[in-house]
Amino acid sequence: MGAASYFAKKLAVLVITLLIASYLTILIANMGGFIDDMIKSMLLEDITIEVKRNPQYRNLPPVEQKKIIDAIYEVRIKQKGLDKPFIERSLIYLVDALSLNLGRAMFLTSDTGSRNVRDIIIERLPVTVMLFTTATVLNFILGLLLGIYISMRPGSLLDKFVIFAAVVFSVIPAWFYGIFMILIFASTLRLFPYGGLVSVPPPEDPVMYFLDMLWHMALPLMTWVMVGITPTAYGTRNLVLQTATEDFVMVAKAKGLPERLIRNRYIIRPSLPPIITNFSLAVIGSWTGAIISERVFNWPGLGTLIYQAIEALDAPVIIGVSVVYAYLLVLTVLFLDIIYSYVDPRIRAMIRGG
Amino acid sequence: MVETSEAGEVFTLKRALIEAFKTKSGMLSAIILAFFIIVSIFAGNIVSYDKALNWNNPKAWEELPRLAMPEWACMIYSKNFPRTIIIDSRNIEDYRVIKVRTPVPGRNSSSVFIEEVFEYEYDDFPSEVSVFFDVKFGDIQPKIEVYWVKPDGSEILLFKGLAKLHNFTLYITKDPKLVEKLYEYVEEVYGHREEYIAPSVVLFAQTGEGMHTPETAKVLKTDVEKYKLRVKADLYGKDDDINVKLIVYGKVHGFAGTDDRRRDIFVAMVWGIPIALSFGVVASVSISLIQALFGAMAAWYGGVVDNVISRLTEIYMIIPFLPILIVISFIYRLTIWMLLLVVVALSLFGGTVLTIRSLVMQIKTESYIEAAISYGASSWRIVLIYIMPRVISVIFPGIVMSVPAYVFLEAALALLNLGDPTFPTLGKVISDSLNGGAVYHGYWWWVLLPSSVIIFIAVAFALLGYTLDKIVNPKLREQ
Repeated sequence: MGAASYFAKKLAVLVITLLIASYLTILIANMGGFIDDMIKSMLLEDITIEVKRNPQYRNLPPVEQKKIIDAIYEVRIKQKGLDKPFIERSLIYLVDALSLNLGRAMFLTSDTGSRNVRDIIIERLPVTVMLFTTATVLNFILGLLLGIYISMRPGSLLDKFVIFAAVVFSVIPAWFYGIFMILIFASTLRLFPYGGLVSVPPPEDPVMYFLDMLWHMALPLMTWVMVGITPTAYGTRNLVLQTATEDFVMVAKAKGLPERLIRNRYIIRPSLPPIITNFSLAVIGSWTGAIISERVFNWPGLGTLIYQAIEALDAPVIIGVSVVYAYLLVLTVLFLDIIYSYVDPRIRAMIRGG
Repeated sequence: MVETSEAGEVFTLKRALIEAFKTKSGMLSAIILAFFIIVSIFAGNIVSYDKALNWNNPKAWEELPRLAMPEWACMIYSKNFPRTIIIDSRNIEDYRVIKVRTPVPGRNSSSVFIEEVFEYEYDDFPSEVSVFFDVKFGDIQPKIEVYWVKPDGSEILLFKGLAKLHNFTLYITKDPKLVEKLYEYVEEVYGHREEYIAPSVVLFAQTGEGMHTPETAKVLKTDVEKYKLRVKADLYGKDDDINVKLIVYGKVHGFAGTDDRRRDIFVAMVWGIPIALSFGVVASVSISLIQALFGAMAAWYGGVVDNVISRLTEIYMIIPFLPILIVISFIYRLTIWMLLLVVVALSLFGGTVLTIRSLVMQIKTESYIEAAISYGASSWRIVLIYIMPRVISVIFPGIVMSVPAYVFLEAALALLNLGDPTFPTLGKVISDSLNGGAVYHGYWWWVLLPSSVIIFIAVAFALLGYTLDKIVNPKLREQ
């Protein structure tokens, strides 16, 4: 199997996943004709505005205008294929969703005043990604280092503590700890703000703005890192310890290779691929956790957007975010697959050879 | 992957559990779980089911104080916080009620005098005072006067007017018109008008300088003389009657306090436990068993079946589970049992499929399976009767350990206001507390008590699962 076909296969699975996730969302949402109604009312609204603005029709009596609107509406419905049976219609919706043609929000607007769901989501996306990526990278690096450190001292006090903490932290989600972090650090100690991205009103100086944002980011970040490090470290420790019992490590030891070389090249490097697999599963899981964490910390990203859309009964936004989440997860997996292929010597060899 | 084939390493569920309960952590989790199971069984005896059903009905909670702390907060702050005092004149056996009816001779009218007398020996002021009226009258509206009499003899006219409705409430400390009477009273004592007064403080403070705010006022406790609510009414019909219910709302209530809609948090805690447990256990068990079965089928049949199941699993593991669940609950407003069904449907394939697939790949080659094939056992018989029992003992720790995940999933949806619309759950109370600014205002009981129930449930299952894992899958045993 060459490198091309290896990646083609991976990519195919991801594309299919994206299709299924988006299509599932559309099917579910349209079981009661929800999307149909939504799209039709948007279309009608568009045409009405168009006709009312058109100088040719503007001065006509309302009854005449209505007739023109209805006529255009019929034509447009046919044009867009909305009169076709559901299977065909749903495929039209799928193409719209995948090309991020997500329609218009019913109530919510972006900061720039746009009612386009895509604009609203694009505005929130960097805020989520900023917090999430920082937390994920910190978790991985610190968890990996801690895991390797304790794997060299199995049975030590620190080792036992990490195992205990991993059990406690992996069973209770980060957002739940978030509530307590707010209680302790915001309401009791008053060290950090209760939530939000920046203070109100935001500082004008860009440097101050950045520092203010870091100050707001500290509490959610601390929570995520606190909850994420020990399970990563625990998983790393187990995999490293497992590799350490392999025959090739024994051989290396028998050969009398230096301890450092054995550790770095014979134990840690072969353990990396499964560590990354474990970690990717954790990252996929935490994308979900991000939604609730944002709600708890009032962090104005996609999670808070979902919450606001639920409060405002804004269905197009909720469906849109669901589709964007499918994209995010698929892209995350793709990214981790690429890293994996760099680390795993078998795939690297394949790429070089193929 | 998992080496269970060596002699003596295969554990039946029962033996694994017995072994687990012998360890310290297993013991601890068993005690916590036993407690929760007992609470679940007797939930109906502890708190009646009606109270939970009436969770969203404000009428059911009107006699409870708003945002009251738990009663044991008195010990923490070493201060005797007021309990709620309720005196109803319909209750003629109550020694605190005096009701005298004087008919006007020769006519249908009569005048009624009601006095409700009570002691007050708490260290803090009550939160609110309300008077509920139940008046029966015909064509002519009765005339009513309401007075507040303090133990030191000062008398305040709270209300004077006609009863326009049969049932109405005087919110003595809330209604701006009624509070105005208290402003006038303070003005009379001080000689000048105060910008701001705390109504429930004025009613229970020692008369004199500083009686208008809780910072400066002192509670006037009862001794020989008591507090009195006096109601005088002139009734004009033969069958006319008037009854008065006085509620002096306290600052503590029950074991768990109340929320901002006067609801008893203890009710939600008690009924939240059986719901959380059954939701978590049913979801975890059914999802793990279904996934294990798919894993076993993939390994046993191989070929196309294996390919389909493996690819589906890969896809399922990347699908954005929560956003899709949010779309479903948003459009269909699921009850908790419908939610359970949807969660299971969205988790047919997952991590367990892969684990079990590789395990069954090994089991497949063992001699007792070959023996079963040779005597002609059907594939289904082999998978269900010979393979699944082995598989279950391996996944059992995982099942136990993933129960909390589903408890938290319910809470997560509740936090997005997508929880069960009718019934109180632990997640819903936590969500309400965040919406109600409990973290911000320091209503600690509202957040901490329901959270601690969830934490105990989670920790108990996690500990038990971890202990079982060390016994059943000894490979992870610490070196």
